[in-house]
Amino acid sequence: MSLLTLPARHLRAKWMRSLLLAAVFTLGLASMSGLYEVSTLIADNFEKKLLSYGANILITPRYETLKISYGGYSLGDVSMGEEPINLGTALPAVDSVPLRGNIAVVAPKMLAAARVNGRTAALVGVDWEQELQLKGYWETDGEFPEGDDATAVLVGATAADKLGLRAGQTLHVDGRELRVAGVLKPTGNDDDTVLFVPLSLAQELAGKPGRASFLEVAALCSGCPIEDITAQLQAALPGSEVRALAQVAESRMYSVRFAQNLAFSVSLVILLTACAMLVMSMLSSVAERKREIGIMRAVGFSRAGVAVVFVAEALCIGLAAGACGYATGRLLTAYVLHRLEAGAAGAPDFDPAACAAVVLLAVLSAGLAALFPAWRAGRVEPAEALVAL
Amino acid sequence: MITARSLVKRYSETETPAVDHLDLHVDEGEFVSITGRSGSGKSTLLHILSSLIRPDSGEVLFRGRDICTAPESVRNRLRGAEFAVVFQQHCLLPYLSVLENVLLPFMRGFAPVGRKHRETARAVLRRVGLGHKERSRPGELSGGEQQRTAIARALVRGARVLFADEPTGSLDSATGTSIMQLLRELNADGLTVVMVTHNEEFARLSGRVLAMADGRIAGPA
Ligand SMILES: Nc1ncnc2c1ncn2[C@@H]1O[C@H](COP(=O)(O)OP(=O)(O)OP(=O)(O)O)[C@@H](O)[C@H]1O
Ligand SMILES: [Mg+2]
Repeated sequence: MSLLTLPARHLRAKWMRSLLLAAVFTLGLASMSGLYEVSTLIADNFEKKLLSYGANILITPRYETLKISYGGYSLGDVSMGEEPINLGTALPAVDSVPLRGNIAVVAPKMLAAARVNGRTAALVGVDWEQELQLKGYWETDGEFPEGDDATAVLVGATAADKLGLRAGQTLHVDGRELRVAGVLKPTGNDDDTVLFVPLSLAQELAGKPGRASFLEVAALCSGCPIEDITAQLQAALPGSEVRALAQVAESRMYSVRFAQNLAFSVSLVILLTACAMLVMSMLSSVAERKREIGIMRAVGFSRAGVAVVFVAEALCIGLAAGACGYATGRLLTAYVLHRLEAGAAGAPDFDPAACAAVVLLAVLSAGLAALFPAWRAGRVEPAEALVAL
Repeated sequence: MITARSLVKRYSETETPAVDHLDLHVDEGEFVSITGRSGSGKSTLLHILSSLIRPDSGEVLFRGRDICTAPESVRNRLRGAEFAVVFQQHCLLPYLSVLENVLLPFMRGFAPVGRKHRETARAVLRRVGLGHKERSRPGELSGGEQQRTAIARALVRGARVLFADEPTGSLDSATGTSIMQLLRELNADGLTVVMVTHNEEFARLSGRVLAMADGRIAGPA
């Protein structure tokens, strides 16, 4: 028994009213946390899909070409200063840009030509891990090489046809014995005509250890325009040329953001409505309980003491609604994801921080909503309340 | 113990004052009844004396100190410790048990009510004849039992003065008589009682009867 017994007993006595208020609050919080969770999940999912579209930034060495013709003969273009990218300096430079967090994949490539089973073929040296992340759409009849597999080869569909290669076979590249890990299903792009080999092998064949012909970068652009990332990369790599390949990602992320903002605004309106309901209900409760307030004041309760009774009631409702709202929000999320058949994305894990945030939001908004009615309760004059019968 | 000097209280500018330059003295241990026609200002006077409202002018000295101009915190403490009020009816919070209603003056802070207070509350409830009802809700009590609970609430904190505004007003005469009997016993134990009543017979049971008319003490009845 203490000051807090009063709100507790009153909530229990008026359980129907308490339940209704908590329900309205729960609704607002559930829609808020549910919509937020769904839109975040969809955005995440969308980012993953964007990633599977491949690279959107290309980093190449800076060429200076010179057309040479003499005496009516064209000697063709002569490239000056064509020096492959030095990975030893380029990769740390990429890591150093402020928007590094938005860069999902940095895939270096080394181009080389070699004799494969006696015929000339185009080879692309890649870092398996980065490349496979970038080429999410690749399919193979064999298996994808792991991490630093130095003897594996992935063969493009057309090239496999021409060279008569199948998954599991061994093949000879400039005298080295390698293994066909898998043959790629046709992709309809340049990947069909080449053989993907470990980066180190291609560097060795080209005689350029530690270097790459170009870098493909996949950046996620939720929250930043791709121009910013490009500009930062360009500043970090003055000797190279950095180009954005697609602006698609940005505009799509924009619509996801818009949907997210919309969801947030709607939930905010619901929550504000719940707060307004709490204010109105508590104001009428203050009027209704004038006599009680008079009794409390007559036995020595201060204005603040009376106000605390009312605020505590609201906080209780907020606390209950916060916990219920978070739980309901999660059910809502699971249901929406199920309906959207985005089940693949999986229902989100229980996040204590998110739960705490929802409860805190609930308690804070309920407390704020209760301030004015509680102040009014404190202002009730004891005699006035006791006379009114 | 309580001295009122030249008290004036008017509820609106146009009307005559509810209490009009009233002087009053109550000694420690006295049992004073105030009678008078409806609207003569009895309740208003009682509210001023028990520090529920402030007069427009004049002073009320309690133990030599003016309580009308005292800060709110001092008046809160007076209401919580020295003074107790009982009204005609509905002096209890409906959703608290009888025991909790009696302990209400101790529920002003976050600290839980101590064992000692609970024991006192039970003893006081037995004293007013409600030892078996401590778990009941006010709604389950008769009018007389509700008034006894309100009186128990005055006793539990050792209040020095009990202000009762028609405490028997809503009771039948037998129940009213038993409440009067209880008040007389408590008065005999040292409690100062200031009671407003319409019942001449009950008024005569008190030590001194004052008649009020038009916001003033017209004299002993
Ligand atoms: N809160 C109030 N606001 C305005 N006028 C009031 C208020 N309380 C009392 N009055 C007026 O003050 C005058 C005295 O009222 P009061 O209640 O003190 O009389 P009373 O002697 O207790 O009457 P009763 O025997 O009917 O209880 C009356 O005219 C009443 O209308
Ligand atoms: Mg009256």
